[in-house]
Amino acid sequence: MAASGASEPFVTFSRIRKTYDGESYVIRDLNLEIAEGEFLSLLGPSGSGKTTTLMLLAGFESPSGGTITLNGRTLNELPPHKRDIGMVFQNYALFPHMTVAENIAFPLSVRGVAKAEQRERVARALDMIELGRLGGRKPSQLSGGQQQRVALARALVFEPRLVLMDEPLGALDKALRETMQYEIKRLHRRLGVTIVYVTHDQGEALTMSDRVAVFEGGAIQQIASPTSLYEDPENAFVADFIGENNGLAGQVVGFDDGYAVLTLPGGRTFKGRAGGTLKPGDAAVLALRPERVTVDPGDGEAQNRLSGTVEEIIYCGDHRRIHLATGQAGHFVIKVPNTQRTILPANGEPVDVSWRYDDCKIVDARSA
Amino acid sequence: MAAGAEADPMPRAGRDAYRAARRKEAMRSLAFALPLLVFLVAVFLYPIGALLLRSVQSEDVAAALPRVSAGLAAWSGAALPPSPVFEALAADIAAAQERGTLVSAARRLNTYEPGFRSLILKTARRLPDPAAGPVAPAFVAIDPRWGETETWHFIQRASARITPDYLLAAIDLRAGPRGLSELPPDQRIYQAAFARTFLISGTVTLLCLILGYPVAYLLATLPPRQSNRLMIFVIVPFWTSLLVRTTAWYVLLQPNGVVNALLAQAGLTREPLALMFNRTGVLVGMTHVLLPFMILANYAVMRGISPSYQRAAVSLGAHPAIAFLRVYVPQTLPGIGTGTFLVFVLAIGYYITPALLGGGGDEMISQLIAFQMDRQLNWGLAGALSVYLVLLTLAVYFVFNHFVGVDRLRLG
Ligand SMILES: Nc1ncnc2c1ncn2[C@@H]1O[C@H](COP(=O)(O)OP(=O)(O)O)[C@@H](O)[C@H]1O
Ligand SMILES: [Mg+2]
Repeated sequence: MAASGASEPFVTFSRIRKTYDGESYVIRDLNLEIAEGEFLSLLGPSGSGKTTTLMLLAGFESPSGGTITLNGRTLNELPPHKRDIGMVFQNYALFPHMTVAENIAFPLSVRGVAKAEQRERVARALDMIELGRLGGRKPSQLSGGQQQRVALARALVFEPRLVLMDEPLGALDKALRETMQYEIKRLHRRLGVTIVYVTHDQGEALTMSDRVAVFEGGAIQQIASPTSLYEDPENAFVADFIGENNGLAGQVVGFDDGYAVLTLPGGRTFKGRAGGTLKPGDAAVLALRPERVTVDPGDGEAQNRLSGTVEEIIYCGDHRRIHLATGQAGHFVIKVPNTQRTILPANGEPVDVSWRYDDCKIVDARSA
Repeated sequence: MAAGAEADPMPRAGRDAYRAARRKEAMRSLAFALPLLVFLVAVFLYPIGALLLRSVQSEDVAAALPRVSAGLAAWSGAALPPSPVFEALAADIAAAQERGTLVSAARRLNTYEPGFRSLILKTARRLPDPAAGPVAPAFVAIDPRWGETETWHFIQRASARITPDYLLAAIDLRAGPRGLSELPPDQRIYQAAFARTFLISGTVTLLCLILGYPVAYLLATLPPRQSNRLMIFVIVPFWTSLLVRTTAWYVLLQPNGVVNALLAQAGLTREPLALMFNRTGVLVGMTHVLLPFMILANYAVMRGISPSYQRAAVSLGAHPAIAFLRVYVPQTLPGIGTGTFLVFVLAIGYYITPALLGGGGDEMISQLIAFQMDRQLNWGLAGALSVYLVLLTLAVYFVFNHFVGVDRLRLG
């Protein structure tokens, strides 16, 4: 199920642009390949163009430029009802005047599947979502989680090879959302369908996906596996958007032993792994995860060092968060796991911290 | 928890306090509604009730001819009444003439048999004198109808204070000496008029649905700015005087009006078409006047239907037309029901538009009610026709309530 198959990609977006008003692009030059059987999440802040991308693929919007192919076939002229793409809407869009069973049978009945076979497949779908006995209910008589399952069953019952989900868990509370995440993953593994999943919840994207495409301003900032996104962000937006980050903004002054050298406006320099396209003179940001910093002056071996004053210590159970005020590097956060026996400084005390060159990355300050 | 609650009911004092508070609340809301209730009773329920009562009341004859009424109470109807009844008639007519109540009694009797009015008035002019000999032959000499039992039968019926006769007459039935019978075909009016009223109302409702549903759909699905602009075209006529709108159709539908001029110019017609003072005029006018109700009722429901349902249906493989029919239309049934109900109920009682644009012999029930009230001064029959109209409306209401539910009735 890995993304990089040698074979023809299942879905491709090439040079897709979309404008609703003729004045500004909601999607600018989108290029994307999705492998068959992949679970791809589109993650990004509200208004970044995720839903639009999904609608282009489903056929409810048409691109202003570029082509989309599905399984080798160009989709631009194919009307949405002939695309055989299952879709789960944020508010489920279960038909309120039909029972659960009728809802699930709908895609079969419009395809002219015989009544007996419809019944059998609906029964199987109901079993799959563990709502076997609720087929006769109206959607309004179900809880939010049950409605969500019915929407899933309805989108899967006609065995589409591609399923699109637009923030399908957005309306559920946290506990239920986690159950459903697991449920969706289970179905994905079992059925082997390709899923494109829109969310603005990074936790959801990171735990469920094979790959995540981070959207911002109508463009993909980075598309990679959850691990790479976290460990190897390609620009400052991705570093900030995924997880927690300390960003030290400065300028690349050169390269040393494979590391990029960044100088802050005040003159301090740091080293870190270099982002792909950086050249000396570029504006860049040193991206550093709070848990990679240790409260220790360090031994000078391939380590960046910084000193500051403790502003606040917050106890979070399994770890403590320490907020530091540092002169040039501004506000700085570190996380200290509760297992460390370090003797922590008290509020207002000076402290020295350090982190390895390999644990930080110097990335482009501009978004894609 | 539940067992605990059962074992430990709320103390009595608490319950009483709660009830007292509820009662006070109810009284207060009643006080707010009181002016409206008084108004409704005074100007709506009371007059309607009085009119409906008229349909079974018959005071005129009993009041004008009290002695005859009393004399006929025991009459079997087999032969002519005995001569004291004839004498009573002479005395009653004389007294009624003096009091001025004879004309209304004569008018009332005329509703049984055309010509009865002139019979009474003619008899009153040449009233036989009981002192001059037997009265019965003298009456027969004035008019042979006094020698027929049927004449006396009508007087007997008319002198009952509570009568089913108006209610019967309103559906073309008559109670004769030999039980109920239908009026002769040339005198039947009302059954046909009720049927016609239903037919016209049904046609108007259907036309409103056909014309209004797509407009409502457009209003509900267009972007808000365009939708608001279009809404003006629905609302402004709604605010315009009914009379103005109806008379505007005169200008359009006249033989030399706009529509006929256009048709002639396009070479489609040689002669001007008769577009008003007939059924066409009524249908056009009423459809126009009632259309906003249909549009608004459907719009109110459609506005609440998310477009994602149709999208979902299409994504599941339904052609957009199938998605519309199987997923959208069923969700608008409450709107269709409400609109149909409103338009139909308003149409069966409609008056001004058919009165102005309709033709003779093609009247709706409301026009016949008005005719009985203004021209014939037959409030009993007008009341009886109104009773049926109210019953029909209630029947429509119950059918609507059964299939749609009145709680779903909403407008705008
Ligand atoms: N039907 C539409 N008409 C006009 N603008 C739209 C429409 N749908 C979305 N937009 C605009 O396109 C941008 C991207 O929207 P969307 O794709 O819904 O973002 P997301 O799903 O990431 O929140 C937003 O600025 C939004 O206002
Ligand atoms: Mg969205």
